[in-house]
Amino acid sequence: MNKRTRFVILLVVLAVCFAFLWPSISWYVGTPKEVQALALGSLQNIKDYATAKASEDVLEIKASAQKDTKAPLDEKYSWIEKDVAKSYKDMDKKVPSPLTTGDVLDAYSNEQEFLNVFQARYRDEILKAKKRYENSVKLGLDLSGGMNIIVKADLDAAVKNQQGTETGQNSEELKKKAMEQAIETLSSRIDRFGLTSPVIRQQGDDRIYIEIPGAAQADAINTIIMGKGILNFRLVDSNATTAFQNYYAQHAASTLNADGTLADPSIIPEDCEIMGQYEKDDYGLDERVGYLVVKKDIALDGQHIKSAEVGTDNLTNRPEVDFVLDSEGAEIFGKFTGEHKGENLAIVSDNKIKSSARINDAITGGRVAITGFGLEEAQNLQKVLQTAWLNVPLSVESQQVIGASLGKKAIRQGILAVVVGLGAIMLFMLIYYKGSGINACVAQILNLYIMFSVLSAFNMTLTLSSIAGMILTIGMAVDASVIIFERIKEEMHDGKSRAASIAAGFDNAFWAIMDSNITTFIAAIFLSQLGTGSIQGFAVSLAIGVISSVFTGLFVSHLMFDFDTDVMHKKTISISWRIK
Amino acid sequence: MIHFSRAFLPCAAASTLIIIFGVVGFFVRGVNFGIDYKPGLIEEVRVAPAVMDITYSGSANVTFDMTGTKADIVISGTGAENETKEFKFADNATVDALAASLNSVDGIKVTVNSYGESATSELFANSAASNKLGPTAYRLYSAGKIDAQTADVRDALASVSGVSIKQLGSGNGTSFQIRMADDGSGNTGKQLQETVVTKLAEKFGADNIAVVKTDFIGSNFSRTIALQSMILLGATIALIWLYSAIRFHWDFALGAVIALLHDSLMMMTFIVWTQMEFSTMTVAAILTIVGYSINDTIVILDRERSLLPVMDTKKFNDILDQALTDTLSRSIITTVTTMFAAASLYVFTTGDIKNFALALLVGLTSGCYSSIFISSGFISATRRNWKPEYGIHHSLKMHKGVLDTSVSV
Repeated sequence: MNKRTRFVILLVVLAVCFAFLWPSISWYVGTPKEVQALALGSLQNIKDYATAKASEDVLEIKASAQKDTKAPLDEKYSWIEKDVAKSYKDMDKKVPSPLTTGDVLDAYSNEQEFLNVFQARYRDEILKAKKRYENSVKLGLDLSGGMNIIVKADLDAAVKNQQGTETGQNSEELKKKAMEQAIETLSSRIDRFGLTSPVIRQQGDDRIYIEIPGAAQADAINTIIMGKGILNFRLVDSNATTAFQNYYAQHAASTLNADGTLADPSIIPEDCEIMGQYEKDDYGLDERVGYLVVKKDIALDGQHIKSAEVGTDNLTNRPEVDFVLDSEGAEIFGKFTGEHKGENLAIVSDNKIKSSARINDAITGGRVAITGFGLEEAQNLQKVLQTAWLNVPLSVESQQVIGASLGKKAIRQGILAVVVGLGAIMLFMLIYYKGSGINACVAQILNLYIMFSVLSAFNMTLTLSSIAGMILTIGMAVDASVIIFERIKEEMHDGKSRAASIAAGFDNAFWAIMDSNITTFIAAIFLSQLGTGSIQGFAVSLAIGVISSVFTGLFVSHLMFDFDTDVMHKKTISISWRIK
Repeated sequence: MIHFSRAFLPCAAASTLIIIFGVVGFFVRGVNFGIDYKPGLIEEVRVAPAVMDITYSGSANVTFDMTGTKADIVISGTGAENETKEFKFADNATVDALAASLNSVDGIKVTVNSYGESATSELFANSAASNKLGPTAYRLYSAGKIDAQTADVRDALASVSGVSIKQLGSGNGTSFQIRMADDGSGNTGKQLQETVVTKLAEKFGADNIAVVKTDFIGSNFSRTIALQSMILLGATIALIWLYSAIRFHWDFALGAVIALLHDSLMMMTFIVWTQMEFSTMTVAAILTIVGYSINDTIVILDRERSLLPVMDTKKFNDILDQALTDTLSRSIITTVTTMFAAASLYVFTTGDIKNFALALLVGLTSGCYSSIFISSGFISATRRNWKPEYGIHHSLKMHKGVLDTSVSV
């Protein structure tokens, strides 16, 4: 490879790294604290915030327009001009200039539409920040503080649920089993929600301790814990549903009590109940889209589901949710679907209907495919099916946010240690290897830069143990340079020229560096796959560091030497006090 | 050429002695297991007066954020303008001054309980409390006002069984680590914690205790993690052996692995005799050294491998000596530079990570030493009967690429 190609490769690598690093930089440096606080709140909070702020603004503009429709638009609302202009164009009208408050209001057909524009603006700003946070390096609980939660599992209720299905086991054993299941389900749920390095331990007999590093994302946690796992399939009574809907249309205000129960239970058959059907809205929150009347009898309990995944229909290529039932479930489901061909089946989770589907035919094999929706909806449903078969009722007993001061101290110490350590190493390299030491220093700095960007790219959590991994990497990155420089010195002892010494030095050092780094890499990968918690964090940063240090040590440093030889026309190497 | 090979035997003997010493220590003194491995409660408390109570009444979401040089009030959400108000300690040197400044923020009320004239830089918060301000007071404590000794804390907790107390830091930064074993009596962490706080409050006053950190762990978790750590360490070393056996020769690979085991045992000896806390961070330190020391060893083995077919000598030890001499400056420089990093970690950090750095320093020394004397010593022992004519034979069997990489020597 010639130098230009290598230089371009280097630039591409650095640019890609910068792109990875960007969300972290903009979150930690560029996002004001108050926006951070909002972005870390729940989606419901963001929705409330956007709605409140939007109505405030709309009221202000309306008030100003009421006083004087010719009043010029306040400076802070100048962003809306673009949207107003678009709106005028859609109406085939000339865009008035300069815009007055009256013109702005005229651009929208109703207040809701106007409100939505403001709401979207506030919402998007916060959601964008939230996205930046999600794509940035997170600090572990030991560095940032974070949240820990103690969850109490209602084992007595779990045992009660189990009675009749499994006899011969005493309740103590059942409780132990239920607890194990609760912990396992919580662990896998937390994993699936993409939270990094969570710690989940049993505390006492019936409590689960969950520790989530980084700023507390309360809504994610609540989804995990409060997702009660009461999932079942129920038959939709279509006649009753139609009857109910007719009644509801006529008596919209008096049909339901404030708590969602029916004011007059006689309007639906006795063996049925009404439930809301929910879809995800713009905020990812459940939004009720209507009501269905379903049978009280459960057709199939969610615990018979063994797995669920999103696939595509072979014929139409549309997304479908496939799930597999255990043998008992398959039998129940086969019998049930055979008896109710042509009717609708509702999937109910936490007393919310998440989906309803028509039974076209008897499904006997225990493999079920549900079709008829978009990919996103399919994914949501798959999540519901997969997370919801926990049958131990859980409640949050205490939810504690660990103060950040201790973490801040740890960060200060960690940064100081890395900086001083790195500084001492670089100073040593400059003194010992003179001019060539600069190459080693550049390699070191790039190495740290690449490591951070990869950590950022994989949304990794930075903990004290991953800092330890970095320190080791700093030591090893310098090792590659030392091996190469020592080799180059030997070549120069043999009287070779600058270019020949450098070429031979790199060639001879290559396998020593590769072998030593590959063995370390093997160890690191192995640990990162099997280890947990702090060991995993350490192993991952070590594995990343090994790759980036080989790249900077061999590739970048070599390029710098060649650049000096060919472009700067250097004839000698400044690499030692003894060799001139 | 330095005759390292002469030191092989004495070094092997010395190392064996040290390791035996470690094994003895293991049985005599035992390992000081940390919270990860021993169920119970660890609580870090500071004895200091609560000088300031901050409350907030209003509809916005307000948090209080303090670093060493400033305090931030972050206001967000509905009902107020979003903003971050910054209060530099340089401008608000005393607690009274800071309280006056904070009181100027809408809805925030600060009361100074005592020590109004003390420096703001000494303030710290109770870490267990959420920094979200509300009607319940968020308290700030001032360090260095009460002179509490480990003996006082021990005295306060005398009636609680199975408690050990350790002082962390010194001067104004003093905190006490209180440790209680989970005696299996069914006490929850909360109960244990309450006992500790109540007893301390009786002794020092309820307003003078700040909990900095609490950690409670039940018994099941610690068993799994201890077993897992052992398996991981063993499996990692086995994998490293496998790769080196493919790349080098079986006795080279075994030499490398013996050096690794040597380093791990050396560190354990150190940990056992200093009674340093053995936590997951310690396991990480041992793994770090395993990863690091293999580097060292492989570089030397690589040199031995490349010298093998080209050196004109009658004795295998000459090859080892030459390889060790060639790589000596590299071994030392690399170890020294990594020690810079580890030493700076040791100097600037506290607690777990300080222990980690100390274990690392021991491991680095041992790693450098074992790469030179132990792994090569082992190889020398397996090749006692080596003759020059084997050399070519072995090297060819070993690795085809050897000749390409050794042209220069």
